[in-house]
Amino acid sequence: MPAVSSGRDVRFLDPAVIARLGSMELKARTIVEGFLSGLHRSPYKGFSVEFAEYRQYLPGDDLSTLDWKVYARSDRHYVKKFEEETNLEGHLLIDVSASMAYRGDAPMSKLEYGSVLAASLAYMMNRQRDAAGLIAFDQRIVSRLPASTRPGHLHSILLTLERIRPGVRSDLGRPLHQLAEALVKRSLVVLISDLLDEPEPVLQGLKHLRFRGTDVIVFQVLDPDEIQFPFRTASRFRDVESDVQVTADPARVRAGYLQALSDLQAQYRRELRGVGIDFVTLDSSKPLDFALLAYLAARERRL
Amino acid sequence: MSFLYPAFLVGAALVALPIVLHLMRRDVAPEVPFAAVRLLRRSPIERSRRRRLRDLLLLAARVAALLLLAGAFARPYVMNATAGSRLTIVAVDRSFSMSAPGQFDRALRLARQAVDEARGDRIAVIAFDQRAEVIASPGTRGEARRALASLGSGFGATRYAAALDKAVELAESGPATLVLVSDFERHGLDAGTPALPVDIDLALGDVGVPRTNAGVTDLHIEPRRVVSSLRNTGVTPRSGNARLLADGRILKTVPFSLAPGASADVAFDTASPVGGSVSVSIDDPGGYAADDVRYAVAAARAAPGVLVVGGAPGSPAGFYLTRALQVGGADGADFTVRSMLPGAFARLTAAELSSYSAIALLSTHGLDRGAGETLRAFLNAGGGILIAAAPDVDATVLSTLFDWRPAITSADRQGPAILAATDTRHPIFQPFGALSANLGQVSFTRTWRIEPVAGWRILARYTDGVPALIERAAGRGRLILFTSDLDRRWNDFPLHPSFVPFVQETMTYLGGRAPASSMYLVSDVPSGVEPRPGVVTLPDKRTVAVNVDARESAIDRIEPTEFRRLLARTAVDGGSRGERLAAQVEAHQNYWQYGLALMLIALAAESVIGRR
Repeated sequence: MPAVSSGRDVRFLDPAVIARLGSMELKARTIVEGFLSGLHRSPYKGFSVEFAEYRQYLPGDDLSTLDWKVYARSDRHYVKKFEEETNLEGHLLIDVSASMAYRGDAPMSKLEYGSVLAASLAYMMNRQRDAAGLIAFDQRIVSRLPASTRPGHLHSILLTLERIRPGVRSDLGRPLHQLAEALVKRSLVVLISDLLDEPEPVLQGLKHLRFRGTDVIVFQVLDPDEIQFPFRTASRFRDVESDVQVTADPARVRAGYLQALSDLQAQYRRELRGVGIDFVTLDSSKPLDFALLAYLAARERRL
Repeated sequence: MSFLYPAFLVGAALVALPIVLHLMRRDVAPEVPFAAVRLLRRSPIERSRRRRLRDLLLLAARVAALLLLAGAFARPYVMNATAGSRLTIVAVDRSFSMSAPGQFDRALRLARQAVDEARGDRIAVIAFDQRAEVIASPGTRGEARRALASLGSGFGATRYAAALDKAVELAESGPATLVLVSDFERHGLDAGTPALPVDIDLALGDVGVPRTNAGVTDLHIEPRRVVSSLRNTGVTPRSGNARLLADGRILKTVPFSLAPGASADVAFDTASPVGGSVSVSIDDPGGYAADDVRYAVAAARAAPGVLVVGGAPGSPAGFYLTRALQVGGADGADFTVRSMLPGAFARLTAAELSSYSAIALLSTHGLDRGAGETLRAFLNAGGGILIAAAPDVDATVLSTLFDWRPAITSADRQGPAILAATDTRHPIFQPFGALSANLGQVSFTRTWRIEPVAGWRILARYTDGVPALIERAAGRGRLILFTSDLDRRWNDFPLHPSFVPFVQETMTYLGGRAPASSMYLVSDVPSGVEPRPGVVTLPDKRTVAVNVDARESAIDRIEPTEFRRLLARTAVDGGSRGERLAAQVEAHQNYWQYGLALMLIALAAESVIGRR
């Protein structure tokens, strides 16, 4: 994954700044505009919204779509895409289970971070005239907005994200299977979750989606506490979903925990890469640009 | 080490509590919500070495505090070798009869000799007159000698019982030897025959008495002269000059001459009444110095104070009563009268009322519960209160003020009535004699009709049987209720000749408090006053004379052999001797105080460690 240029102003992508902003729309707009303004000075100019209807000609493209006027002016080959053809149907899947409400010392909980990410992606899709849909779920689908490009739909998505409250236990496998069955058109599915459940059902669900021809990008959102396990004193760690308690001395279990987390991520990465799914781990205390870049890369591939 | 109350050591079993709690200490790890518990492995919590050390120190501090507490309550002591050894008590008479030249030096020589010859290592020294004081607790020879070095004769009178009782108290723990150094004045046995347990050996150090002594044995002030009594208690005739002094100046000198054993009054005539304090002194170089001077204070003729509540100066209320009380003979009025409104009275304190002998209550308006408490305190202190029924007096308020149970109830009674003394032997009516019938000439037009209730004594009634004058005791004082007015509103009593004697006799009866003494003996001075002859001002502002007990001036001694014979010897309760010895040793060592101090230190340490 290409890195963002270091000269870019990332103030507007910092979660600590984002958390202080008011509405979800303001947050999404701030992030996306900030991201895109930086992107114009980056090697990713081609993904900016001004060039959304054009793409460089690649061998195999239909010559009838070649824009000859542009070729005449610029001596370069660009493919002109019709709007209905170029537009994606993006589905944002956000896990709202209780574990997503966890927040250590980060400015935002994982759910808030994921919501802002989903809002940013929705905003970006809207700017690119892609149809955006939203599905919030824990062990069942708690909210669903079908993908649409109609005016006002973005506002509905942002409003829904703003009103999201943590649910109960998560069971990602079932909603993913339901979605795979429901999608009749090839589309892009963005899954935002901490993926701390049993991985097998989730992998099965994602593979099911992929089997149906859907492009999938998975964002695993983790709190810094979960990534670094910075605890020092012996504690009774209570699972926020199951209330299971584990008494442990952090000094003794830290290495094992970090290894288990690394193994889990490696399993996801390995299994998903095998079926062509991007797997991106996000730290809820870090800026969102990494996630947006990952999205753009996936979109590019889709197109 | 032994314990005076070993049963308290059972309390030491409480140390098991922190130990058990320490051993049973559960993991008190705090609960931390976490989302990735599935990835955690359970691990036993091992406390750090630092924490384990802290816990052990905490446990040690708590255990130590409990042990020290139990130990302190058990009163530990160590019975050392000297504790059980024989005690020698040297009791030195320091009454003023030991103040003849060279007499007390002989006493100190005998006392030092007794200290040097004492068997055993424990020696105590007592100085006594009418009281006994331990000036050296059972201890070493050096301590006893140092105590003797600061001893001198005083102004008290000899009481052997005081010294012997104190010796018995000191010797509670075992056998002892008492060395009694005295001049053996006979009157020292006046308080009764002293007793001594048989296990206390008695040795007598006879200081002897002087051959001559003359003293002033009495002094009183009359209106135009001062009379003193002189006594020669020696065996040779004495003559000289008696001097009357006031404010350090010699007012008069009168010669005297006394045969051996004789007494005589010496009068000092004065041109004007003597006020303040005077003293009479003589020269007596060979006798006791303390009885060569005697002091007296001229007692002011203090008319009893009466406070009239309800009649302010210039107002008609209380006018007749005040005037009747201010009537007096050649020496002035019999009463000092002050009038006050009830509102001002309510602000007075019990201490401010103490200067009055009686109170006449003619109004209850403005009197609150605080005033009631003041009035009850006045009664309890021996004061008297006269209440006259009047338009301004409410019977219900009276019952509340004085906390009368049952309360009195009054109804208005209109119409003519005639007073008749029921108890003519009562101090109020007794001076009237047969003339008490003259009270029947008073014309009453209105009175209270009071139903007699328990606690009241009826002194006079109206002819229809309704109580007219009733009395009740309250604390050390008394209270009289007159059921009609004293201001000529409900009767014409103030216009009758019998009014003044009635009012004065009533107030005399109510205010009959014993006059305070103006002379104290050295042995009886109130607390806070130095027990030495002279003129002093007491805390209550009274000026009084303090004199020595004249009986001590007598050279009437008892032979030591007779003293020994008169002494009662009592059996010893040997069963508790060990306990008494232990108690004495423990009281001397006071290890429990160190135990408690250490316990506090342990608790402070526990607090400091616990915060870390």
